Amino acid sequence: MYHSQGKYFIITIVLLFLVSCKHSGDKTTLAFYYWKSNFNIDKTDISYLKDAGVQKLYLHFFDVSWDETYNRALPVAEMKFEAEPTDKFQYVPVVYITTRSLNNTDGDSINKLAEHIYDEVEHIVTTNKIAYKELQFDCDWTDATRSKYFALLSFFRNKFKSTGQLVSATIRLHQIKYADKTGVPPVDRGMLMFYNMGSINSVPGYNSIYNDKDADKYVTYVSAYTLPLDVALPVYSWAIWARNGKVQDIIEKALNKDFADTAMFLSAGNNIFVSRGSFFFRGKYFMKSDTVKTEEVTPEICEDAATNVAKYLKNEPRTISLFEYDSLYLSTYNKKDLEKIYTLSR
Amino acid sequence: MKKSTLFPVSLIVLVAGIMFACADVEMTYYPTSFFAPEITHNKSAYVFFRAFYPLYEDSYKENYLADFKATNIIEWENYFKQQIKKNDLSYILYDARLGEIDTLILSIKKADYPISDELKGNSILKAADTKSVLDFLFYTGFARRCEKYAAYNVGWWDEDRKNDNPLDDKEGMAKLADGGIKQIGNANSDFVRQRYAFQVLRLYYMSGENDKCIQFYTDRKKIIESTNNSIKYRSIGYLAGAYNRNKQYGTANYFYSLAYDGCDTMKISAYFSFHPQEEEDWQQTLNMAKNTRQKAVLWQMLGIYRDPFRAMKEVYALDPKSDLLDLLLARTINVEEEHFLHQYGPYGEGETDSLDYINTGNINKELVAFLKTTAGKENTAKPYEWNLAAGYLCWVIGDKDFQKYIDKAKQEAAKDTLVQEQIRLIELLDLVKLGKAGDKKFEEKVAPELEWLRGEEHPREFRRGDAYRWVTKILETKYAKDIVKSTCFKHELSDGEMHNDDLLNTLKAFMDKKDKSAFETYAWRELQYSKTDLIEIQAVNSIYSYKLKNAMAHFNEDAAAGKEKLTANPFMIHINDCHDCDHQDSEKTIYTKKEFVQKMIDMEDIVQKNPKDAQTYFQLANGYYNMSYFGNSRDIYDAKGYYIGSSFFEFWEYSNTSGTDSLPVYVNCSKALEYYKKAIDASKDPEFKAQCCFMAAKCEQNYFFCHKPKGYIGDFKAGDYFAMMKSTYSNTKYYQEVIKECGYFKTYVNK
Repeated sequence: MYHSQGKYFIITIVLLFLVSCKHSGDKTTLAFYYWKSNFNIDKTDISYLKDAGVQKLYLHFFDVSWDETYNRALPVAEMKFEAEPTDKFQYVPVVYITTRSLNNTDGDSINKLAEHIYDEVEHIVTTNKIAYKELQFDCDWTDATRSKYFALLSFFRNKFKSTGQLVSATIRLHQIKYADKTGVPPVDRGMLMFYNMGSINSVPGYNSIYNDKDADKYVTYVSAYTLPLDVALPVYSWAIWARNGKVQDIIEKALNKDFADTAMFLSAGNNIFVSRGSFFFRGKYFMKSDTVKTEEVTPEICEDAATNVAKYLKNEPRTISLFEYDSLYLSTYNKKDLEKIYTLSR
Repeated sequence: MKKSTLFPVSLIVLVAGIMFACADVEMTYYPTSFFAPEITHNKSAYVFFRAFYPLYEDSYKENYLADFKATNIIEWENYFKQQIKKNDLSYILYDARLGEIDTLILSIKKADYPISDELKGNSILKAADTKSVLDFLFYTGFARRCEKYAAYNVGWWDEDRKNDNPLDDKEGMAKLADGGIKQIGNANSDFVRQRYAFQVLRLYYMSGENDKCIQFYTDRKKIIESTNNSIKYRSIGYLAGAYNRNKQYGTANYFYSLAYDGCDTMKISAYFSFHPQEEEDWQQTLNMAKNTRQKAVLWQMLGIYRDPFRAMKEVYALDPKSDLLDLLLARTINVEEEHFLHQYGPYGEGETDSLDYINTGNINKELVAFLKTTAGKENTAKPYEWNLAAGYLCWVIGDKDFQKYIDKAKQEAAKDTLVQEQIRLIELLDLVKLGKAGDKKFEEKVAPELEWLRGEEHPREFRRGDAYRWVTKILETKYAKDIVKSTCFKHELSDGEMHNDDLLNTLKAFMDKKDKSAFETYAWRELQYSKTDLIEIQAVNSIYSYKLKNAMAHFNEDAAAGKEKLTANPFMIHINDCHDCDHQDSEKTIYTKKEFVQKMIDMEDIVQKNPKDAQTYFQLANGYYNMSYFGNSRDIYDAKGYYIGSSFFEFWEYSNTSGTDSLPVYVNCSKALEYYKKAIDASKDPEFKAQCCFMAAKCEQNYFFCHKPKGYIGDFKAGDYFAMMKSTYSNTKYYQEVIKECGYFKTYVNK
């Protein structure tokens, strides 16, 4: 008896401590987006992630896209599991929904589509023995697709009422700023994508993935948003390839060092490289004088983003997730960098 | 997250935008161009001509099965030396169930084996060479068993998701492949052996065993390549696919190029599979080429894929007579045109500006030099193409040699209609470029050429539209000081010009001119208005500035003017406007526009003489009310270029972002209001006065709608005439009717 009273006493102390604690930092869950088509995490990855205190991984399960030949919405780019998901992490399946697939699906058929998505998710989690407490949807909905998308989200919320699983949706910055026009999705939580807010151009010195100036146009609206928010911060890099100043394409996962071969590129400084002739590079065909501008998100830039958004976040438990996990960035981001980013974003 | 989809989305928007913009002018599936690639007459290359979409005319190809099927049937027909009917072969190959194929086999082996009449009628049973027939049937049965693996679409969800994915059945596929290998030994001809080998190869590919697939091809190369048919090249396609999956891109692309060049049914899919990744693997592919042809084919693929000019130079260096050259030449010219000709923006922007110049600064000088040299050597398979191309680009940059090349092409392709049209076009472009406004000699020379270009008698492939627009724009600019001709070349009148009476009169005089020169006649026909159209525009202008006698004078200029019947009686009014009721009223008095104006003039004369004629004021007011946007006879305003749309206000509010746009004349009800007021003053009958008062209130209300503050939401605010209705006419019957019918008024009264 005495013993059990003592236990309650300790619990009460702990609760009091938590309540009185001004900062919710201890309740921040650290996460990464794992956005590859193959799930292949080895020991090095696990120890890196664990070391950094990562508890959760968001997995890109599949896209729902519109198939012209069969005239129906179909799952594509489904994640292949080459390694068994370790139980050291929580997993959140993410389903990306193209607006085209919603545009082409009748309002009446949304529940059917939702059932298909549910079956597909269940199929993947069962096959790979994954337990999930949250399912996330990623969709840049428009006026025309909003009602369908929200209906689809409601389906899952109803479905999960009995299981207690959560439904979350990615939220883009313009959806925060213009929430009265775009609507707020009917989900338990939103995942604010705090990156990729600028315009894709070849202007030297401008970083479209994150820069304070573009962020400031939106960030003040974050505090007024009605959904509880998790936050995704960028830790990726890419390069913008242009010809005569006209953007041709984005070269994914590209760093400055990728353009170091002076037989192909000449460095013009300021993260700009100029091609010296005609050649293939990463599947793209360069012609003489094409330019490449790398946009790297260094730990300093990500820290800026974290500091900026943290000012407008409510003091409540949340997940801070970094986009995206790739061994390419590991050398740039050491344990200390990640810890700093997480601390700043609390 | 959205990163991966950012680009595809914006590219779709861009392409859709381009198509949309062109819909305005003339639907084309290629960027702005004066140069028809069809002058090469290289039919097998048409699909790879420059277009907005990856393929010319066809846009995309999604389903290759029909092509494979058709080729396969032809190959089997040849195998049976045309002894079996096409439909019978097709049925067995693609429709027959396994049981039916077995039945056919058994009934060949045993004459009295039971068989359906339908199957019995299949001409395969009548073939003399039963050995070949049995080979065919056994093979078809085998192929049918492979189908579920070969034709399975990965990534489906379905109601019956529980069904296992056949591609997971590795054991079943391996077993079947072993059976196929055995059958290679049993078959009696290379033709059938090759097909078994193809099935086995494909099974390995489908089960993801890339190394096994490659090994099998290498081991059975002789049999797979024994017949030069579609099966050989489809096998090569799977081989390339296996290398591709193994990330051996250099080798994969080499084999894709063999399929691309060797087999028409594989051409498009092999091209779409061709994706060099790094310079190293591209160099490896080039090194794999065994002869000049193979190397030239690789360069042609690169030319279509990314860099036609570089490819053209490489192929020319390898073999100046190569038939692979002219596609590259045509593509190079068309791609170059995108640099120097004006391209429409994604949303139709830039439709009017910069059409009148050719951006010579953007032309690749090296290309022009190469074309001149090559044309000069006359050592290609079709020298006329090179002279034509060199002549065209020389013209573009203003090189004096242009005529020399053009003349040569003219001789070399004397009987080629399309080439001759192309040449005539370039010469016309030159004539227009050099011509001076008002120069009689120029006008005489150019007029028949312009008539020719405007005419419809051209080969379908001839690129007339962009050239016609360019020529017209240049003429409009050159003749800027000749108000009549520049207006004609502009085709349409702006709003300001439609209200410019002097200009309209000048245009009318020009139309009346008896001894028009050929050039003037051409210009006149470019203007999209007839003389009657101009007269009606003038009459409408007069009506809406209440100069009725002027309007009548205009109508009288031309017997055809003002003859259109109005859809409603323009003197009819109601408490609530109901245009549809007035239009449908079968007993309405019908007026033409001209009769309406005449009646208005007559009534104006009456009130002029008798200012106490309340009824006539009322009728006049009704006429003025009904010819406005709010009345039942908006069609009084109809003239070419004049039209009152029923959603005028939505558009006006939408476009009037600054809030300062002036309102069009036709929303003005002030004249009607003035006359309703006069009618009230002139009458002593309270019922009649009430009616006039209410109509005046409507005019007032319309004024409010037109002038309410931007963004104003809520009811209209009552003015003087609602107040007068309430204070002066509440005892009338008409007042009670208004209360019943008009919600606004009722609300007002009950306040």
